Amino acid sequence: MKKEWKMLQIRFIVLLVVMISSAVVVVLTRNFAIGALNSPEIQQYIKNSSKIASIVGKISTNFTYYSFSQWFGKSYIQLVAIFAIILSSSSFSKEFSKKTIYLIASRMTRWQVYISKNSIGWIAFSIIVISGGIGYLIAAQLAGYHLQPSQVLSWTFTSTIGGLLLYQIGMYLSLLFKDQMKPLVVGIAIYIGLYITSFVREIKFLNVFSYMAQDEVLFGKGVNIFSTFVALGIFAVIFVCGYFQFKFKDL
Amino acid sequence: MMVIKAESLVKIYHNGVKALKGVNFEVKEGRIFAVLGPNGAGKTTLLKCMLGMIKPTDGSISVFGKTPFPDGVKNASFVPEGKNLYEWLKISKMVDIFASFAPNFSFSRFEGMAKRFSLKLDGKVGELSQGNRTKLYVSLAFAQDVNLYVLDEPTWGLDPIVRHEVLSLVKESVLEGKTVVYSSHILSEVEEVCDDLIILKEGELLYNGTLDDLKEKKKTTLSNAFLSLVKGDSL
Repeated sequence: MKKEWKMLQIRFIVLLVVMISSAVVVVLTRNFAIGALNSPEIQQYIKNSSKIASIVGKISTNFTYYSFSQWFGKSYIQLVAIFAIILSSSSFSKEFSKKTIYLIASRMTRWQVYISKNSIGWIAFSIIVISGGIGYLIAAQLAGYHLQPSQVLSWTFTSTIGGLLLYQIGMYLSLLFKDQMKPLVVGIAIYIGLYITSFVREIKFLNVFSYMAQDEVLFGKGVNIFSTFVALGIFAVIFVCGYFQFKFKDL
Repeated sequence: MMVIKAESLVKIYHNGVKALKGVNFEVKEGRIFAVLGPNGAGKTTLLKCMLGMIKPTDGSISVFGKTPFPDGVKNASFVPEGKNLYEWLKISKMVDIFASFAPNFSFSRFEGMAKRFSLKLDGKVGELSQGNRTKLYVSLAFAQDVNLYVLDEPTWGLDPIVRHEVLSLVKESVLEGKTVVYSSHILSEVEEVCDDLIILKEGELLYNGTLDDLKEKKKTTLSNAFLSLVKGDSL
């Protein structure tokens, strides 16, 4: 555990700072963003589309909608996905490529190695994701904006669950390769693939990003419990498959 | 007592390379057992099989009566050929972290080793020379109070003084009742310390017995006997 934390420490601190700073920046630049949207050039451009005009109007007048469209439904989940792959992709592959796996493998059981890497990663990643949601709420309150804490907690919860699923995909990929670049590249390709599923009705349910940024929460409904259990179920399956992959792997 | 027993051990990698072709041997407690062979003989594969890092394709291997794959051997300490440690850590932090997961690690044993090898604990692991890296790895491995030490090229990059200290350490370990598996290309070192040995070539066993028997049969030094066997001469 101590080793795993030491390996993640610097990345954790950097990503935590980036996440909180990004949340604060989105809150603090609200007036600037609204000013830009209400500029004559933009208004001229959108005047022929009532739909876009309506969205711009809501962003300008409704802080909850602004928060969803600019943070919880956009930058936040993008950062969560990027951070998931950054934290997970080198977890095992770095030990394989640097051959430090021989230092730990004979001294710990495979389960001890696997669970320590996973659990420290889950904790570090969850703290970063939760700090993005809570940090945004605190920044909004300090800036004098009203935002329902229950909505923020709902989006933070779904982003954490969805992010952990993406993190676990990255962990599994890091087990498959003995160099550090391939898990990163394949992970990004899979994330893009998951995002593209939103454009095809038949496989739309695979889009974890729409689960993370649930618009039902925006309309006052709670978190989709069924989707949450499905996401947790897939997460558990990948975790177990990863363990057996590692357990029977030649090192 | 038997510490390691291999029966018809076969390892074929996914790419089709046959690294071990039915190897049989036994390692007795309190002995220094050398694993010799030219490059590509299967030495490292054999050591990995002993430590449960790879799964034998066929046959069996047991260490302290248990199958080592997949969970390794907690009562063993391994010095691999590569001596790869966490480059970005300070040496003192590396020791702390190693102690957090290595079974039966003793800081006082480590300090004794470091003093014996004149190992300085300042700076980062990545700044160490090859020789000092080997010193650190050997010190960490022997700071574990375990019954089996598996050493792959444990004197790589060391000066003659420290090399002598490592060989003395190996001999002292056996006097304490430990067992040592020793693999090296430096045959004069092996001749100095080992009791029993096997010689491998392309995954096949060329010799399995005591050092004294080999020298007696070939009427020469270990180096000459090794060269003769590897070239295809019979015993």
